[in-house]
Amino acid sequence: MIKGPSLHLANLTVAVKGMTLLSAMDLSLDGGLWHGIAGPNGGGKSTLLKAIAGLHNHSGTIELHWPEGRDAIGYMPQLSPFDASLPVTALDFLRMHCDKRPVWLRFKGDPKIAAVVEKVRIQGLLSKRLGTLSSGERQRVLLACALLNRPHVLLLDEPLAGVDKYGREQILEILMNFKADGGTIIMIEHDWQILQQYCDSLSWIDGTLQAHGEPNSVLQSLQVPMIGLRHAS
Amino acid sequence: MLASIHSAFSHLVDSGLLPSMFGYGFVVNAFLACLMIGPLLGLLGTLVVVKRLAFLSEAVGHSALTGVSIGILMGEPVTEPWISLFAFSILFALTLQWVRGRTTVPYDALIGVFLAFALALGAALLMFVAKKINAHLVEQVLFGSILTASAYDLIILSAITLVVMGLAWFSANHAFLNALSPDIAQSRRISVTLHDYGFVLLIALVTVAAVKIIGAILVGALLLIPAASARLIAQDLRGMVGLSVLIATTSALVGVLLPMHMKWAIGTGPAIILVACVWFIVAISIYSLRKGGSTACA
Repeated sequence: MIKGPSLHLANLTVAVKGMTLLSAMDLSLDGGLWHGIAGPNGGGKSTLLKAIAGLHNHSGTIELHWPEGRDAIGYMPQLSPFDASLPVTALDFLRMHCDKRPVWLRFKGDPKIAAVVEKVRIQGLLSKRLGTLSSGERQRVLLACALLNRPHVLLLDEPLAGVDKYGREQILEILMNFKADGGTIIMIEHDWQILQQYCDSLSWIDGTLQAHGEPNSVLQSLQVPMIGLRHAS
Repeated sequence: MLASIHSAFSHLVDSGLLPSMFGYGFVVNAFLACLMIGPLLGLLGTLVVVKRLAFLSEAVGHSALTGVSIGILMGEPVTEPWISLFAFSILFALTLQWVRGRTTVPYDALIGVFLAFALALGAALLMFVAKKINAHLVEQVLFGSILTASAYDLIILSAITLVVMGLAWFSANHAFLNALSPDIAQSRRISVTLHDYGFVLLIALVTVAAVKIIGAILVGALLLIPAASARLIAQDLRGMVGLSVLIATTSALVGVLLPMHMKWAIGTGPAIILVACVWFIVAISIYSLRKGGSTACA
């Protein structure tokens, strides 16, 4: 059993290459819960997640209160453009994260990798090239990478994007188990049914925090269906 | 130590186990240099290809031209202008990286500007230098020579090999992760800036280390061609690195020794790169056969 951290943002402003993407944002999220982040495209959702993960400079404060004094963050970015023809397998990618031996030497096993491979059920994908994986399979590999350092908080940028129904169920089950173990999840998602069904809170972001609370009440206050949200297929 | 290696090779030549050309010290030196240059360039080349920075290695290679010219003008030995060669190539690589972080110019365009600058300055200085020294020495700088690998060069090459292999052992995984996904690397507290600077620094170091054998014009090609060939036929990253090292090393050895054995009057640099190109053709053929086979099965 782990205990995920709570998150406290105060007057958070993030500018990237001279452009202000988030301004004067205040937000508190409790530990051990599943928090959804939604908003229009370009509203600053990914910027917020990157700032929490320490990828963007910012003004104001970002505080993660770690109950156990451990500070392991698992970050799963959006799938960036990837050269599909590179001979990089899922196992290569996992090894880059934590294997002490260089990836150009024979793999001799790693307990961390073995644990996440079993948890995310990607045994059959390890020898496949990343470029040949389906979107859902690649998202599961990325999720496995995010889980490698046994994080107490997961920052997920659209983990279900491009994933089919079966893949979604698998990923959501893993996330439910993570939350049941006490971890905190902060997840960007556009599908309002997922937000309503799984998230404990929803923050609507458009340049700053526009609304925050229980998902149904936030979506109603924003007069759903909103632009940028979609129904589950 | 080098004397004892030469002596050991002489014994092997005397006993008929090696061709007579290994009785010459400079051939043994070039042979040893190739055994270090091949793995160095083959290993680093995979990172160049994964990061899609083939153009960068070309630019740094061409900067060696300018470094050599400045060294000769400043009075360094014509065949061993190490100080200016190291200083200029490293300064060039670090400046390029520094400017990259402070402008919005796309990286390939920026490298193009630096490449043009290095080539123009190097060519201008070489023309000036050529009036003062034997023109054949300029040719050696441009295209490499088997005659130029001295004991001193081998010591420097060994030191660079040790440094690069040490860094590759401890940092290769993070370097590849940074190349594939800088965001994930940074979120795992891997310093992306340090890795990017380290990468261009290593490119500069191995370029300088290999420039005397391969030449400034073609040194970038041996960073690129073996890794590009390996990428076509490897099934995973381990295979790509292994094949790249194999192709780079065999290209260097065959390119140096075959013209010597056959008494062909061609520079070592062009010979090495031509052998590497043969490997590339083989890789393309294997790739095409596999692709054709899988299409037929489908």
